[in-house]
Amino acid sequence: MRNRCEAFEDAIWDRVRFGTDLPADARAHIDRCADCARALNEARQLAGVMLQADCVPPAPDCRSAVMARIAPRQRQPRLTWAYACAGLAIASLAIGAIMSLGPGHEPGRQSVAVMPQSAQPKLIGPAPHRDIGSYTNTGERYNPPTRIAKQPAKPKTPENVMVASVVNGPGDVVENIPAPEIKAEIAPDTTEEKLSVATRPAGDILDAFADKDAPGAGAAPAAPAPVGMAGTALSAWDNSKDARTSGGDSFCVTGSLDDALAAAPNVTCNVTGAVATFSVASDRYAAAGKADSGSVVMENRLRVATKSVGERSLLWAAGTPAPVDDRPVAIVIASWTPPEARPVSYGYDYTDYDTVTGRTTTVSVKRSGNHVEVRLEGNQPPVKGSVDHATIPSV
Amino acid sequence: MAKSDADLVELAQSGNLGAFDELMSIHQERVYALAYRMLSNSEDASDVQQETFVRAWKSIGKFRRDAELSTWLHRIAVNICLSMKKRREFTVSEPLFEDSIRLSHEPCGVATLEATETAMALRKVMAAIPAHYRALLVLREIEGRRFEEVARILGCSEQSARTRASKARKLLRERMRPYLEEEYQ
Repeated sequence: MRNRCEAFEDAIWDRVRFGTDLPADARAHIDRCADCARALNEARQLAGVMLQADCVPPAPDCRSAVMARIAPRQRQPRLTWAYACAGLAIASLAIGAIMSLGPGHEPGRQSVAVMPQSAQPKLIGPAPHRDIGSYTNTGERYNPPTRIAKQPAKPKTPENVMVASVVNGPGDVVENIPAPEIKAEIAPDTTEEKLSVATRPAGDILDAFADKDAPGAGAAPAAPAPVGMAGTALSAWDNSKDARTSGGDSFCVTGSLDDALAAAPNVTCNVTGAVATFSVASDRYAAAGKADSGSVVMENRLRVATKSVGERSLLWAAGTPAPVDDRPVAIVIASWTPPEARPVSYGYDYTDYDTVTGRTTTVSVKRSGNHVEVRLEGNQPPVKGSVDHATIPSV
Repeated sequence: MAKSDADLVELAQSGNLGAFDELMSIHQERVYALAYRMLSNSEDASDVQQETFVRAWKSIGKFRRDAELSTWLHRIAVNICLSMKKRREFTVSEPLFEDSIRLSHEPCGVATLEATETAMALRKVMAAIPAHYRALLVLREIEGRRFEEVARILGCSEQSARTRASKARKLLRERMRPYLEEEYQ
């Protein structure tokens, strides 16, 4: 009997995993055999759980790191002993000749070899720190050894560049924008989760900004195409279901920062030099006496869009960072739905790849009531910590 | 026109790094996914991903072009995962996050607590299952590969893969039983 049961095991698992039909003899056997009926039930449940639990973060692009390890390196020619000895002998003879015959030779005066400035070793300071946000936590910081080889700069190939318009005004600048690249940080403060994502405009992001279906609340610019936000762009970072839709009362703005801010009354912005700091006000924050904020290093080009989904306000801005690197950056600041509207416990995580450093950041957030645990892994020093939402009433 | 795997392999075998770069771009996601499923740890998976391609480059000359490149790469990746598992007990989850889990098909906001608990239990059980059984569960039950391919990746006979899969499923069912509902009666 046992062997007969085992004979149907593959059929059972194929049935639950791939939806294949059970052969007639297997069906008949399962009807009679309690063990196999139980196996079928358990396999069905396990298959569902396996599917649910199987969530692989986006794969990092390992090509640069691998190339750095496998590409042939230029070797310094080795001096053989023979060459070394010969060189030493010639050098000794030459020095002797100079000392005994050279004009202006002053006995007793020692000559000092001076290394040309270009050959002198240079002190290398720490790499410039580039932060696009902040992270406050009550937990520990730790610095595991770097596991990913330093990335060489990626050459910009024609395939890697797309032409798009990121502008100060309608249709006035065309720039080369690298293909999809993402950088992200999460910055929960002590009162509210706040997710700020800096995204180098990718194809889908640009498409999102050119979303012609975006409902223009009030003034919709004539040209270029109205800026909006599409589900594809949002779903890249937002796990919340409603943000995956492009509905809601979203509106969009193109043009100058002033125009953008004028059309987004819940957003305030202070520009100091090349840094723009945004604040997004919402009823929820007003009640808590807080404001969501974020900053972006920018030049004078910026696009801002806001979106409200339910009680959530989103600020979406694209600008050109300077002088960090030459590539445009988009920033999203999301203020999340109030705790009352959320389940008591949930978690989400995502992984982003930073093409500047070549590193991957995995951000994991787990919330249980007012307690939020956050872990950033892979980028900068990995950080983990927890935040208690003491100022927001518990659910 | 995009080159096929076979064309790229041929070029890579003649030392063309550009072709190998293209091969990496084609296969790196699946290699990473396999490693992640085996190790449940993104950093380890990333290490395996890199190491797989480094080893693949070193051995590309020995690769027979009549075989599937993806199978060969996945075989390298699984071997690295298994040896990594032997070398140390890799971390399945950080202490802070020992209860966290990624849920792929259910938005977090609506995931039921029970489903989350079961998924967490599965993760723990999978982590505790011997690596060679786990490899089978990942390749067959999660990635849905044919036994023929599973056998090639694991370097065993198809019959042996089937036998091991049976044992692995049995182990999984036994260990997950407390979390499953008894509906059959």
